[in-house]
Amino acid sequence: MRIDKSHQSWLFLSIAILLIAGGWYWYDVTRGHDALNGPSGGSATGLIYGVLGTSFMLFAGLLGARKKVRTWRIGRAEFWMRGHLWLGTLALPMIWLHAGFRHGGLLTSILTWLTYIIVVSGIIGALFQHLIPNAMTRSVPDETIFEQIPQVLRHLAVEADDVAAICGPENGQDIETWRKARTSALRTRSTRALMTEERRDQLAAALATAPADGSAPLKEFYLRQVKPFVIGESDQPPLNDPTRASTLFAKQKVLLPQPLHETLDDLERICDEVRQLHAQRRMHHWLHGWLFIHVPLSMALLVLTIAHVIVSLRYW
Amino acid sequence: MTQSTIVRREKADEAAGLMGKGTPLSSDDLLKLPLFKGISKKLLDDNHGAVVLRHFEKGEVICRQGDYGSTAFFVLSGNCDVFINTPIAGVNTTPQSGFMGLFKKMASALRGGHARTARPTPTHVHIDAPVDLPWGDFRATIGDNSLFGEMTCLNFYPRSATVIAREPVACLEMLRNILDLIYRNEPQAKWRKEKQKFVETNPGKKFDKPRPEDGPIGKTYRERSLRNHLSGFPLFRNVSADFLEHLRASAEIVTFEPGEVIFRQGDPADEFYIVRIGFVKVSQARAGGEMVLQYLSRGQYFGEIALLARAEGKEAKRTATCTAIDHVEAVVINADDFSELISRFPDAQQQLRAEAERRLKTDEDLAKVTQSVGLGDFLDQGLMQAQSLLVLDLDRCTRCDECVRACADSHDGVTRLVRDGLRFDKYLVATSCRSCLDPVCMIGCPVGSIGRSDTREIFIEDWCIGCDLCAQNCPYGNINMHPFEVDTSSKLFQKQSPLRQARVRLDPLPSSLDITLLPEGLSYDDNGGWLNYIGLPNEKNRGKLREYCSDASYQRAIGSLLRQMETRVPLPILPADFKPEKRLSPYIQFDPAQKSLVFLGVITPDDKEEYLNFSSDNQYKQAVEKAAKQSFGRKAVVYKATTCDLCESLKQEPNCVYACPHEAAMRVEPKLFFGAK
Repeated sequence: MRIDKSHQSWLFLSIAILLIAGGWYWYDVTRGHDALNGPSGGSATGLIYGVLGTSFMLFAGLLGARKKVRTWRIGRAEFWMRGHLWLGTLALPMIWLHAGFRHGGLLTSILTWLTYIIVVSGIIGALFQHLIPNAMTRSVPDETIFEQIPQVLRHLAVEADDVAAICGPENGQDIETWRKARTSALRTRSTRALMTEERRDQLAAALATAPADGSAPLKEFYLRQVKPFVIGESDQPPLNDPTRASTLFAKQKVLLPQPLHETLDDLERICDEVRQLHAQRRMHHWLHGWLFIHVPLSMALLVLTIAHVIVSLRYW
Repeated sequence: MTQSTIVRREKADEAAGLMGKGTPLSSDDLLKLPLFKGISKKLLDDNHGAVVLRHFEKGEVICRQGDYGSTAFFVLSGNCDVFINTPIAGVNTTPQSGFMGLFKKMASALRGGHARTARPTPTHVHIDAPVDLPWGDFRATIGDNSLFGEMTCLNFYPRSATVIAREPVACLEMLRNILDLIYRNEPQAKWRKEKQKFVETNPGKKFDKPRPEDGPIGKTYRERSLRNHLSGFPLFRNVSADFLEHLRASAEIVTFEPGEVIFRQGDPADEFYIVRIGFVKVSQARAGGEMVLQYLSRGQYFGEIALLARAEGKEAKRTATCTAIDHVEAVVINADDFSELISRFPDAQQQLRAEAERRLKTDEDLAKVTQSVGLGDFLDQGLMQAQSLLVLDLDRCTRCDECVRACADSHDGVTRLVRDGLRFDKYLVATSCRSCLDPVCMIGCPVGSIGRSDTREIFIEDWCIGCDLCAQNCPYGNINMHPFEVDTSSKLFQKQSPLRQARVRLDPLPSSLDITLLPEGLSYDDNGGWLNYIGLPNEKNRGKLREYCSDASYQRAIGSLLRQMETRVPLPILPADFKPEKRLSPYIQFDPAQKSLVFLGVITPDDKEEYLNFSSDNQYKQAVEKAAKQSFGRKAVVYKATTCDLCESLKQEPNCVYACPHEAAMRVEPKLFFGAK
């Protein structure tokens, strides 16, 4: 979620809650009921902070439940998300005020540390979700659905093979058998609407005359550098770096005869798409990976909070 | 000719082998039949072989719903069952009863009234036959002298229903050239032209010249089917029998060629039309171009707005132009009969007025959408065809897919939007229905299950037969065919080989398995490494699946996949009198090594009866009974079309937008949204 001007009301509300709670705390420990013994979770004021902090945590935790009933008209998901962000963050100062800025015993220390980790991971997550979508939009114009990435990569690998077929078979295979098998595969693929007829005809024509004159260096380049990168065996420089990859392809262009330049352009485009998809995958992991810390710890925090409430009430 | 017509024609050509199965009839034979009365012998001789005599045994399938073809049938003797085999599954959400039903209703109230209450359940489903199928049962009987399959023959649409011989049936199967000859009625065509000319030059006056006699098809239709058709329309539900009889005799049955204008905007009005065959485009001339308002299919009517105005003493001018999209046949009711209908039957008047008001309001709304921009530009751009787009702001979208999940949650687990599509700067136009101004997806639906709501959303009804035509017609690929699981014990699920679904884990993926070329029906899901199969397992495609890759782990997976789809029962020896019927023979096998009888498809209740007849041996019969019990209730799959209806019943924003936690998803009017950017 982008944190922008539209969050103003939540920001002001949070500041107001913080100021009121902080002011009250200051008054209470200097002149009020807790002036004598100092602040504690068991005092009336401390309990109010505890209840507030727990309520904020619970509300934040309810976002997960809200997401399970997406179609229920119980407030827009966006409202719940804003509440999750701001009230979830406010829970930490409330807990500080509740505990009088002390960690206390084992259980309360665990609770406090869990809260720190959850809030910090949440803030990092919010930051990622604020910045990464924009970066992904700009740097991955060929973005696809995350779950489809392996499929698309496979198709790109096959396409690269089809394009490079202009250089002839890879491993001394009988040319006629190779040509027949590749043409048949090309036809089957094109009937499944994975390429235009024009493209299929182009590739089929290249197959019919393969290997093209002067294509040996291209074949070498394809087998040594492009193919391992495209099939995922190597994600190393130079092809994983757009600038270096571009230089590499430019060099190859100088070395290869003019009729093979189009093939080289195709391979460059495929490498570029593969690189984008790798980048998308990395960014997707950053976008959602922090949740693997945030969510389980939040659940643990809720369970331990219940235990804390029961224990506290029992020994109050 | 549109791309979709070409596809239909190609598919029809593929299915053209049917004609080879009958006995060609000579012109002398044909002229003995009343159907061919009045047709010249020379024309029939010129078209020799275009009509054949076919015999069907009891239980034999004459045509199957969703199949492509290019012929029509005329029953000479015998009765046939006609039905659509379409288990109500998934396209619309059906309410549950009991405790869960109560819970769902409460949840529904929270959701904002998800149940579809806006559209009433129809009384009948209109199909390409002289009968309409009653709602709920979806089956009827047709007897001798019935002509069916005209839509397929004339317009290359898929068959709208399955027809099975109830007893030995003899029928004529004919190609379009013959059907054209039968339809031709020169005297009536001439009379109609004279009438139209008279109305244009003498507005308000009555044309007195009597109508020439009907042709053989018109006559048969008028005598046998027209009354039933009329009484099947909600409009005529409370109309008295004597008036229906009067309409039966006086209504005209008029055919229009593809592209023919039925009437133009501004023409004087003196007729009311009910579509019997084909599709009619309703459009209006607007500044900058033509605006399509609606496509009308079988059973829908038009021309009522001007006639209602005329009944009120106002000027009776057509408010829109109506054009035949393909071969159209309409039942035409003249202005006097229409006036009598609305004056004598208040219910009919009320329905007509409500429909007219609804249509006028929709026109007005459409006019508002387009008034501030030149229509030419508006229509030229693919996006501007849309009235509503699901747009994702990619700078805000965290790719969490909550929108897709919300869509799936709203539609029985099947999403109607895909978070992929065209990009404009930071906006992604997701693959979901655009509610186009010209909804060409609606053209050709053989059972009229695709429609457009008052608020202009496209919806697909539960009785979709999965023929795929709307998906082909959608220029933006936004209608998808989805497999829906159905219970094979469903009453309607008979006489059709249902698809089976199975999956098996194949992880890691063998390096020699090229998943970009997998055989038909097979797919690989990277998430979890599942090999999925949806199809009809028979010997041919089983072989293809096995031969595709020689890797041992693939072979094991395929073996397991195929076993999942089999029903296997012990049988020591195959009886000597075992003789499978052709339709089911690919789905029954005997495995001598395992001494078992193997059924490859689902054994539906009707199939069981047929399987039992393959042999008189008792052990065999017991094995079939046992297999049927094992198979009974097992899930099978049917394909149906789905499209986004913008959660139209919610009267609020769609669920995909409501469930987006990041304010990234929005439904926008493209003109306003992209115009302002």
